[in-house]
Amino acid sequence: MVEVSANDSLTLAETVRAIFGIELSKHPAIKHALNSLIKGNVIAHTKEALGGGVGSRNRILIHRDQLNLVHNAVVLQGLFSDTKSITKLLKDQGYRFKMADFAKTILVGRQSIVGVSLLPTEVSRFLDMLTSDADLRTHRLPQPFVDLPQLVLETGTSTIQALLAQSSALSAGDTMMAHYFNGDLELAWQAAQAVTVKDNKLDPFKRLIEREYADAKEFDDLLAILK
Amino acid sequence: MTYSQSPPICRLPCLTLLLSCFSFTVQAADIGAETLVNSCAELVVIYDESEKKSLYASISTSVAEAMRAGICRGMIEEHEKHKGRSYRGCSNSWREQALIIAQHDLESSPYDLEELLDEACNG
Repeated sequence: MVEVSANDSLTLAETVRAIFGIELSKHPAIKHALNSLIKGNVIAHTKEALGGGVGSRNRILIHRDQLNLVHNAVVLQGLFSDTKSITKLLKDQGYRFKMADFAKTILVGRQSIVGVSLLPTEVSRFLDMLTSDADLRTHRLPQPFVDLPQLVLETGTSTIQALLAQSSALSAGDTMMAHYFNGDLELAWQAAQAVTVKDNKLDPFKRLIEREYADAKEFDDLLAILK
Repeated sequence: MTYSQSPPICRLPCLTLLLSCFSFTVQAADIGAETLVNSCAELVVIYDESEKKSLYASISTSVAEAMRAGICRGMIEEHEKHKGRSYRGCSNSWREQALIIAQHDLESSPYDLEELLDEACNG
C-alpha cells in the first residue's frame, strides 16, 4: 500500500511522507511530537553520524517496522495532542483504556470535531482497536478523521483546545474531560465539581480526576517544602 | 544411570552464568556519576515545570522521574553535610548544584560521583 524505498530505514521526513503524503517541515507540531517520541525511545531508531568527524551531527533513521507506530502516534496526536499522554498511552494498557473511554465520549455521535469531518465507521473501528489488546506498535489504527486535525487547526492549537473554545457546545462532563485531556488538572477538577448529576459513565472519570488532583497538590506541596 | 548423571553437570555452567548475571545486577544498582547527572536533570526539570504552572509538575512527571529527582536532592544534601565538617557548607544553593551536575558533560570530562558533587558544591 505504501511505497517506500528498499532500504530498511528511512529518515523521519521520508517516513511521514510515505505514510501521510505530507512534508514534515511544514508541520512543526507533528515534527515536535515525533521527535519527542524518538528522544524518549518510544520509536525505535538508529543514529548515523553525518560526516563522521568528532562532534558531527547525527542523522536519525527510523526502522521500517516502526511505520505503523509512527502512523498511530500521529493519529493519536490529532486527538490528544500532548506527547506525554501519547507515550503513556502506548506503554500503559490501563491508561490506554481510560483514554479510549474519553475518546469515545468525545467522538461518538458526532459528524465532525472542530471542523474536521469524522468517518463514522472508522470512528467505531478506531475505538474498537483502541479498547482492544492490539499492539499499537504493529497494528495500524483506523484513521477516524477525513483530514488530520493537525493540518486543519492553527499551529499550536490542539483538538481539545479547539473543542474547549466552542465550550457552549459541551456538557459539564465533556468540559471536565476536555480540560483533563488538555493537561489542565485545576480546570478539570473545577469542572468535575460542577458535574453533580449522578452518571455511571462519568463518575469513574470524576473520581479519577479528583484523585489525580489530590496527588498533584500533594506533589506541589512536597516540592514547596523541599525548596 | 550415566544418563541421569549428566544433567547436574550440564547445570553447572548455567548456574555460573546465572550468578554472574546476578552480581552484575547488584553492581548496576549502585548510583554512579551517570545516574547522578540524569537524576539532577530530572530535579531541575521538575522544579522548572512546577514554577510554570501549579499542579503541572505532577502531570508531567512519571513516578520513575520523581524518584530519580529525589536521589539528586538527597545526595547533594548529604554531600554538603559531610563536607560541612571541614568546609562551611557549599557556595552554591542545592538548586544551583543540581543544575551544574545536570549540565556536566561526562563524555568530555569523565568525573566520578564525588568529583561531580565537589564541583557543584564549590562552583
